Amino acid sequence: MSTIVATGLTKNYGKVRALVGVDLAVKEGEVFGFLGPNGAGKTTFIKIMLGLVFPSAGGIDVFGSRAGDTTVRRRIGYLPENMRLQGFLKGREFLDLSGKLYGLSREVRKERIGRYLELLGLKDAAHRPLREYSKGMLQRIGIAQALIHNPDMLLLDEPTSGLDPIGTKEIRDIILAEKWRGKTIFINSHLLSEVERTCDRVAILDHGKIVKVGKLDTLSSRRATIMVEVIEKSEKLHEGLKRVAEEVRVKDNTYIITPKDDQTMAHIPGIIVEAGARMVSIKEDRESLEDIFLSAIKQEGKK
Amino acid sequence: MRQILAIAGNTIKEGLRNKMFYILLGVALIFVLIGRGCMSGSMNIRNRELSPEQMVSFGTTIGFFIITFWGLTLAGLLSTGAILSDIETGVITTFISKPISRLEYLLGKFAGVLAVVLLNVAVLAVGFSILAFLRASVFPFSLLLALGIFALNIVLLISFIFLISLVTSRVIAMVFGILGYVFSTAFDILVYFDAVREKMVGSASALTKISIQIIYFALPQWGSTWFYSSSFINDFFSQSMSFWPVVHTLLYIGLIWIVTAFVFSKKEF
Repeated sequence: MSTIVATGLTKNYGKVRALVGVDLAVKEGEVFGFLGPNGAGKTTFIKIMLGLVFPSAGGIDVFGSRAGDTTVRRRIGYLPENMRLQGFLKGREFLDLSGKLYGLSREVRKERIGRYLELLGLKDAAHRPLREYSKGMLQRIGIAQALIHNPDMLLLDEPTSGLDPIGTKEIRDIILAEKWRGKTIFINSHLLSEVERTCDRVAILDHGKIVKVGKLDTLSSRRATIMVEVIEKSEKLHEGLKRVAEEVRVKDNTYIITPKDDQTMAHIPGIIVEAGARMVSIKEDRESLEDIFLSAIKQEGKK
Repeated sequence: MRQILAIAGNTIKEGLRNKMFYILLGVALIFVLIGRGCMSGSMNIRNRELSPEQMVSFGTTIGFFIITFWGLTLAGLLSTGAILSDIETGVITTFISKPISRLEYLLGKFAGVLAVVLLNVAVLAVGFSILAFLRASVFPFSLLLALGIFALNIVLLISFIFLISLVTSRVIAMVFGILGYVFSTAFDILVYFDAVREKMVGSASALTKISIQIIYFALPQWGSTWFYSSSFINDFFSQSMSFWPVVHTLLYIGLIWIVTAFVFSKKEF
């Protein structure tokens, strides 16, 4: 079942086309990464889902209802990019206000605020005004307010932006924990390594258009290269590998194999045994998300 | 309703944690003491010494002027930034991305600003009344009644600035608010008081007189409502005080809210 369904979504800001006929479906329980360079239209997509911006054409359904409805927003936890907060509020007060806006009772608010302050390491800062919070602390309290009502879906706009490695790992752990709890998580990001570590599927957006969408392991247009390292090269092994490969290159004691099909990898151990070779290692070298992203953006630029 | 109260409570907190608020309150208290001072000693107007009751009435009028001026200043200052600062800083997305309608957000902001202003007007009014009671053993209930009616002007000013601030910048909203108030009050003097009207436009053409009447009804009647409310504490404006400005102001508030809600519903953040 799909949680988010965008159909022909278009958004124009005057002459600027932020989104151009975007069609996208995000499944329930999925961690979905929305990638794109700055100005690609990622934040506009999220804002339309929340009713902060209105589409010029097409639309998005979230949980089967039109995006922007208050019933839809009740089921969403949202972390804006560069979260701005009212500096006069104390951390605990801000979470309490968020809880009230989600309609939580006093008892539930009290329990959840305590839980998330503890979980996000903000317990000691709970009574300090937000103007005194560091960037990392603001990001963490932003996550807390997004989680406080136990939403079915999280919309995270650049969740690890500006965080140090420890903060980044903490946020990643929270995202993964929510994933195991069955939440749908939609992440806008340009930090490809983070997306690679957390997302099940990604879409690459450029100039308002989706240029690629799919699972990480199927996004690459080329098959993973197989690297077979042996103690000593042999002609017999080389010939055997050629039979199942599109191309075999040799570098030192390593055969770099471009597979012929999906079965290539399965044949290789048998060929090594048949050739009497002694193997050191065998590994697949997949195209990184960064490579996929850059090539998709480059191809789109050529059009 | 809970969401409106949550936003209102937050706006009240914002107002009460603003240092400028206490500075202005301190200044207003000084002026209230001056108003109380006007009840002391003796005073002659047109070679006639005022009785203690007349002195209290005079002092109460001064107090009324100070409190209304302070109320309007605070309403202007708070309402200009109430929504605009949320929009400028992007804080508004934190609020309206939650399950709260835009109208609820607006009403919450409005209720919060109004509560802070009325709380202060009430503090000043009660403080002044106690001082007056201690001076002349007369509790000026009429001041409270006049301020109650005058509160409509505060409601109208906040609503007016909310609307302007949605379509323009902070400074322009403030300037529009002040100019709107001053212009409307000046125009109301021209139309509301027979003597002034006769002197200014008595010999004007029928077209001019009709045009003035149309503008008078088209503009908010801040001045007229103020004259009407002040008629409860003195007889300075004794001529033909009618309840009409109150009705006009209520209608105007309703109209502004319809336009504000529409403009806000179309705004993107």
